[in-house]
Amino acid sequence: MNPLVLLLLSFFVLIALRVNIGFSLIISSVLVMLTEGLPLTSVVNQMYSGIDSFTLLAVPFFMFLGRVLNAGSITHRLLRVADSAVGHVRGGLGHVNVFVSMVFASLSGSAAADTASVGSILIPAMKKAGYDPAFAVALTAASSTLGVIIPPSIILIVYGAFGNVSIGALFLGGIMPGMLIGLFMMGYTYVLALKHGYPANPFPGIRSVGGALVRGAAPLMIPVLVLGGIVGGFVTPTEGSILAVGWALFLTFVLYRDVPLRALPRMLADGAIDFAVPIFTVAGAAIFGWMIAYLGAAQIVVDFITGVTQNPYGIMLMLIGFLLLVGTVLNPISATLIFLPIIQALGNQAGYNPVHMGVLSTIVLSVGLVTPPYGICLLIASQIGEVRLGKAMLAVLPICGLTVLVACLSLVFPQIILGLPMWFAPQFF
Amino acid sequence: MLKRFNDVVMGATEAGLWIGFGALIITVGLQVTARNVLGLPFIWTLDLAQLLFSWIVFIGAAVAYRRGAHYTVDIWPENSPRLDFALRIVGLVAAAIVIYVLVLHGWTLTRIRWTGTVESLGISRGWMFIPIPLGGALMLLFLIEALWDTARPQKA
Repeated sequence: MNPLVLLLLSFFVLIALRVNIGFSLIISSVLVMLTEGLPLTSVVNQMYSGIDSFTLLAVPFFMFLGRVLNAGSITHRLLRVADSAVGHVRGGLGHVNVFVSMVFASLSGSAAADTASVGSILIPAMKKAGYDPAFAVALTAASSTLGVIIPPSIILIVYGAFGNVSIGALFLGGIMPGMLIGLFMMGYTYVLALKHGYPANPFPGIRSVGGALVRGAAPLMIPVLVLGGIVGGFVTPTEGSILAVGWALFLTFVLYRDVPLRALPRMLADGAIDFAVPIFTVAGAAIFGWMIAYLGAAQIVVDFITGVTQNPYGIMLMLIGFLLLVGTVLNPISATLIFLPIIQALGNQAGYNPVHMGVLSTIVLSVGLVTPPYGICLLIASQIGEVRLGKAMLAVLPICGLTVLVACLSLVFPQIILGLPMWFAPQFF
Repeated sequence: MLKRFNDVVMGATEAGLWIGFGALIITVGLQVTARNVLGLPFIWTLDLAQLLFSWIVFIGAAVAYRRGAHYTVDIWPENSPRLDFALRIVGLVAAAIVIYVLVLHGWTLTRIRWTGTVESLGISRGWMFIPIPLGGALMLLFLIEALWDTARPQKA
């Protein structure tokens, strides 16, 4: 059997047999290495090389940040800010849901943390207010995927670290499309609210809005610290992430005193497991990606796609279709690492900027977080909302369509992604 | 007996994980302060952070294996005990293969790297790689427990 076919086939068979993704990546690589006569010590060597990166250290800190934000009152403070900003618009709770996910996305890089924290408060509230439960679940799950698009984003860090692209530029590139997707989701919510008569919250008054902003001001310093520091060149992404963690810990344990200090060891232990799992998968993806490169898969895919079409839009649409497909079974970190050579090669072929390719692939792969079978955000939200996965899936499809629409729009109007990085960080171009 | 022993091992490992993660946060925090405030670039903080990172990842992956926290894709119908049992067996065999690679080849790699030195920390480079076989050994302990749990209902 062709080694590339063996690699891909064995991987998909293993994950279909419920073997965890990290193990499947390692075993399928081992199988091919044995048939190719390569030493198995290379497996562990490549796994270690895959995680031997100072930039990758930002991942645990941004993930831990999500845990700290949820442990205390920070998420509630942000919810109050969102409620006073958009709660009074028709379909208020839906808008609050999207708005708070956009704000949460600018603080933490984890989508699942957002689904769990925002969903546990807003899904029951939306159901009580008469929203369709499947819509409440779908909107919560889909809006939380903004966490991997709006900076700081774990996927963009991985793309930048392994694809040799400026993480600062990628972060800037994620802002506009992330906000655009959020606005489209709010527009969709508004249309449904008119159709089904979903209510608006009463306007709380200027003083109340001011109060919510003051109470939420300190946590909202986090994106200023992180983005300002990285783009301004004062700190690296890893250093920015540690500043954000330090600030969030100070707020939670010292200023607000929401959580007793004795809870910190448990939070740290769980935080360590939180990141050990995705980084172990990254290590597995590193050996698998190395095998993909060794077997020349990138060139095969490029030759195949350019054989079908030479048109840049055609090439990019085929890439989007391919990433939507792999996103259904792979988490975005693994998919980014494994298919990075293919994404970059096709981007070169179609004449798109590397920053554009990083953000575009992240937007498309984020859809996989809400599509079965590996739609972790949709799974979490359906459990919270007690809605059958099939119904939630149908409700989430039009919202996913909005995300794909923004990805496609960026092909025609690259400024959607490249506008901010070219304006604020021209040194990267 | 085995479960109780593994509970103790798990407790000790989790304690090590929170201390390690706390140390990682402090180490990188120290680096930010040293570089940006004091103007002193510490090289040892980079190496110590990398050392702690690799230990937490491989040991943490073993703990996550026992907790069932690794990512899986579930496409099979629920309420089918025979299918569930078959899939569990496949999962155990897969874990055994990964453990074999991590323990045996991880140890070989550690021995190869042992002669190198991490200059800033004054320790052997092998310390960076030893969590790979150690994590594998920890997974083996948890695999035996999982095997025992899988076999028990079959006997009854």
